[in-house]
This record gives sequence, structure tokens and C-alpha cells, in this order.
Amino acid sequence: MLKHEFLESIPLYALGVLDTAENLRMQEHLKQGCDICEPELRLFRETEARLPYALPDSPLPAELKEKLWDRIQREAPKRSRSMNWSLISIAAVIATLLIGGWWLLQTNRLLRQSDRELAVFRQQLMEQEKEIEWLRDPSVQLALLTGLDPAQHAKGKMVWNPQVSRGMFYANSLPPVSGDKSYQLWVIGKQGPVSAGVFYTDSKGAAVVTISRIEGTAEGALQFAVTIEPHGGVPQPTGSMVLAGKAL
Amino acid sequence: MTDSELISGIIKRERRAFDLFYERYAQIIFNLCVRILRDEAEAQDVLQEIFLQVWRDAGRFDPSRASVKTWLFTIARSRSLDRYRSRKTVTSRLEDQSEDQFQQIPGKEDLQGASVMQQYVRSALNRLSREQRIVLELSYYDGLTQEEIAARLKEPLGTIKSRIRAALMKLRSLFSGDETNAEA
Repeated sequence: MLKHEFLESIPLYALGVLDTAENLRMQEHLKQGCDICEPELRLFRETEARLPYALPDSPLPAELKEKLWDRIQREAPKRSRSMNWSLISIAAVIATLLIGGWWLLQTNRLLRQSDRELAVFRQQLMEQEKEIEWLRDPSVQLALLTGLDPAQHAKGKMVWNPQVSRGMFYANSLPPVSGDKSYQLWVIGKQGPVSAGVFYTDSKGAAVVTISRIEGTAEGALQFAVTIEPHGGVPQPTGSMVLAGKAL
Repeated sequence: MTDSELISGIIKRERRAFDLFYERYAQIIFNLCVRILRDEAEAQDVLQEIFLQVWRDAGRFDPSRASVKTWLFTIARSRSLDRYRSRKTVTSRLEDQSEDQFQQIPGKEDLQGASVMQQYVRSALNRLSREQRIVLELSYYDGLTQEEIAARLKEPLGTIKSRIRAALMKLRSLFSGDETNAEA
């Protein structure tokens, strides 16, 4: 439908005489905004708003104004009640905001704590990664150590990085030693054995030794051994050798 | 004080603004209520409801859409017609409009004693044809649709539509002082 067709119906729409379908069409058209119809509609509404002036006066009771004012005053308590409801609503909103704020603070605190923990874990992970970085080196060697009298059933494994003289040693089935003795691990290089530390076993004769630093040089290490030594260890091996093996 | 200033006062809950607004419009609104409802007691009740609505909804008045007067008269007409329709079937509404009622708008001879505005509007209405005045009354005061008016007057719908349109166009021209179009 063209705009001028709507325009023709504007006076009828202003008076409210259009049928339901036409009325809905016009409402839909006006809802979309029409620069032609809207000012026209306003003018026709202003025109029809003058019609009541044509009517003869009916006797308006003088007391009607006071009656009306009384009705307005009676409405006041309703307003108060609605004000109370408004206050309750405002209080509810404030309470919700406070609870929400508290929840946000708690969540924020937990998040900060989680962040701190995450930072610690990340740091630990970095340190651990650094710790095992030497394992990724292609020069890493593996040595299998076999048990000797009096520990024929004992076994050992050494993972060794000759470049940085670092390694991990695993032992199992080692017999227990008396309280004044301890096991001592040796890295044997071109210049002889160098202590890689003293260790103690668990109830199953197992032990894990991390070798991060050895005293002296282990250059050209090819063999590894475990001896039973006096408690606390000795600079050079003196006791019985219970495990020994070469790098593969 | 202008109508807009009075509405602002009512929004601020000023009794004086409300009194002035009531004094300015109560009589004309009451005339409209009586005309639509044909019952003075009921018209008094509806009049109070209209002004109560003004008191409550003054804040919703949008000056960009209509003047205060148009807004007020729209409320008054709508409330009165709703009340009237609630107690009348369409058939009884059609029967209500006796031939005598079409003479309710005072003629030229009744201008004496009327306010300037009343004289002005009545003069304009008197320049419409009788047929045009009848369709305006049936639509504006009685709230009949174009089909109902056609049925009431036993005339084609198209004729009624054209007549209503022509009547309002003529009034609009008269109110705007465009005598040329008014005579068209």
C-alpha cells in the first residue's frame, strides 16, 4: 500500500472509526515511523479535540472538586503502601547488591589465592623441568648394576649425563646394613672413583639417589659401584662392593 | 499559567496546579461525559476518574506527541466510551441515537452566553453540512465505527468514509483559518 493511501485513512484513524484490520494496518504503518502520516495524525487529533467545545454546558456540581480531592487524598495511603513496597524493593536490591558484592570479594580473594598457587606450581614445574633437562641430552648413558656378595640379588640402574656429571640412581633388593654403616655410590672415571653420595634403603632394600653434584671430577666415567662404608661415607671406597656396572 | 506548567505542577503534587487545571477543564470534560453517557450521575463519576488519572499519570504526558488538551480529551473520550460500552450492546447503542440527538450541538442562535471558544467551534461546526455533522457526532461522541454508522444511516460504507474525511478536513481548514479549503 502506498503512503498516500494511508494518508487518506488518517482522519478516520484519528477518530477511531476504522475497522479492526484497517486499524491494525495503520498502527503497523505508524509504528515504522512515517514522516507524512504522523504530522497529519497530530493535526487531525488536535482538530477533533476541539469538538467538545461545541457541546452545551451541563450543570457541574460545585462540590465535585472537593469530592475529587478527597478521592485523591484517599489514594495517598495507597501511594504510601506502594512507597513501602518501593522501600522494600530498594532494600531487597541493596541486600542483593551487598550479597553480590560479598560474593564477588570472596571470589576475587579465591581467584587471587588460586593465582598465587598457580604461580607457585608454575615455578615448581619450571624448576622440575630444569631439574630433568639434563635427561634430554643425547649423551645420557644407562648403566645396569648387578649384585655382588653379600647382595647377589640386588640390582641397580644408573642414568648418567657425562656432560654435566648428573644422574639418577635406582637400587632394589639391597640387604639392610647395620646402624654404623651406610651405602655409598661411586662414579668411576679416568681418575678413579668419585663419591656420588651416601644413601639408605627402605624396608625392601630400595633407594633412589639423585646426583646433582659430585665432589671432584668424574670425567670419562664408565663404571658405577655401590659399597658398604662407615656411617656418613668416606672419601675413597674402603668396604665391600655390593653393586657394580658399566655404562651401556 | 500554561497547560504544560500546570501539568508540571501536578507532577510535583501541587494542589494549586491541580485546582487550576480542574477549573480550566472540568466543565468541558463534564459536558463531554454527559453527552457520551447521557447520565449526569455517571458522568460525575467518570469525570472524577479522568482527573484521578491525570493526577496519577501526569508524568507520562509526552508533549512531543500531543498538546495537553488533546491528551486530556483523548483520556476523557476513551474513558466515557468505555463506560458507555460496558453497559450497552451495539444494538442498543444504535437505537440510542434518535434523530433529536443530532441537534444537540447548539446552532448559531445559541451562541449568546457561550465562551469565545464555544462560539468559535460551534461556528465552525455550523459550516458543515448536516450530514457531515451527523457522521462526526456518531463517530466522536457515540464511538460508532464506520460500518456501524453506515448501518445506522443505511448508506454505503464508502460514502460514510468520504463524509467523515471531508468533515474533518473542512474543520481542520476552518480551525487553521484556511477558508479556501474549508469551502472546498
